[in-house]
Amino acid sequence: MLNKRIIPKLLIKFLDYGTKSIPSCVTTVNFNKINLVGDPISQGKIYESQLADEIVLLNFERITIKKNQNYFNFLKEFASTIFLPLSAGGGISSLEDIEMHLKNGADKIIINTITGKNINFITEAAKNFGKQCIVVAIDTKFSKDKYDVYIDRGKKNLNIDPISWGKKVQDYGAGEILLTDIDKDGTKSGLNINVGKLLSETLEIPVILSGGCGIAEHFIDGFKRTSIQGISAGTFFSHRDQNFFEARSQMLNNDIKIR
Amino acid sequence: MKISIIDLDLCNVNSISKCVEYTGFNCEIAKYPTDIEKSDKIIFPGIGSYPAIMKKLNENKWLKILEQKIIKEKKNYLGICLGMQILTNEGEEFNNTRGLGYIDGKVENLKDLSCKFPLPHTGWNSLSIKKENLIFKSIKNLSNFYFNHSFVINSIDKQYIISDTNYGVDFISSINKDNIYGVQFHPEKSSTEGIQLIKNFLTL
Repeated sequence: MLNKRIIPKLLIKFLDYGTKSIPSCVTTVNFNKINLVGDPISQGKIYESQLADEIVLLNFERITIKKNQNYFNFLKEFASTIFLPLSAGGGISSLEDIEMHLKNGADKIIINTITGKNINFITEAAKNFGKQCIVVAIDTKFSKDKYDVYIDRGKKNLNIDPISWGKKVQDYGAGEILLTDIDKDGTKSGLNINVGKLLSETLEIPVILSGGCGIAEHFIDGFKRTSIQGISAGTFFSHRDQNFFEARSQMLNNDIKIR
Repeated sequence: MKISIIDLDLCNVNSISKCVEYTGFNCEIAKYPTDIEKSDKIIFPGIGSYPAIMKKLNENKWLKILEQKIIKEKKNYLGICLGMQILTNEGEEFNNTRGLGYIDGKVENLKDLSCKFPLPHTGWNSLSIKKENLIFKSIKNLSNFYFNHSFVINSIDKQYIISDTNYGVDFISSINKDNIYGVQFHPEKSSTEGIQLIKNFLTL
């Protein structure tokens, strides 16, 4: 049987040191406050040795990707050093962007803002690169009395609830969903079980839940109480090396099937 | 020994070539049919769609040289994911497309094999090894490998099936017929065991 997936998330920001611009790994709180973690390639190698199932790599800068050779050089180096499945995204808005990511080592592509602007893009992308390659990131936030879906790194409200939006992107050809609760991001206060449960039980494609993991029990919660296939976390894994093993051993003790 | 990795410009061959280098071998990227004329081992990593790959193979002189190398010269071939699926007679993805036909069988959607779980089948799943095979040397039964697909090969002669995997239904996860090997999972993305499998293929 298929194993549940533990997926470290690396946010990549280029920081200037003297004349050089160096790819660095950062974490965020509520998509806003930035904490510097360190070198993404050594971090990725650590995750591989800790038995991570997959890696999510997000280009935090989101600047016009086409001309961003610096980023693609980094992506290529990352993908050829770490023998794990790699989902990459951040600022992707054309088929050409996707092609560049795939050619430089990504296995799956994460799209968000473009889906809110032109939902047909999902269909186009799935047709060209295969459905299994297209991951739609759904970022959600609670406002007044309901959950809304946001694009543009949490700035623009699409005024639709995550469940209806999930069904819609599934119909348009998404192969997987990466669901993130913006209010939970980086807070270590636990995953959004309710939305995760509803979405994973509604959709036919795999759902990955993210945002809020602070202790190992949050992983148990996520897997025991919902039908999600994986949990992605940034802050939890990058701030303490032993967190990964703690999460794994507790999952195994709770009969959650992992590799 | 010349190891070639076929690159039809439809997917990333970087991971697989790095994986080969990691095991201590050198490899070349084959972009044109003539590039594999002298190859001793051929790896075909396939991502994308069955019709797109077959179209590319048909456009150029790939079919002829592949038949020469694999069927006539009996050079070792490893097909990964789609690279395995195209070995069969036909694929039903989008519209029925003819495959290479080296192994009798067809490609079907897991959904049509009454798989009730979310598709694509994405993640780490275990191999139940059906037959001892050199490609599994030093790899334990039920080891985990990374899968990412909705389609599987089916109706294959039992003697060629070397492992299957369960995702609601049992499906064929690797095959071997003479010099031809095929795996549904991605060894190049499967960390230690994956690297071992590549190494096993290269030392056949």
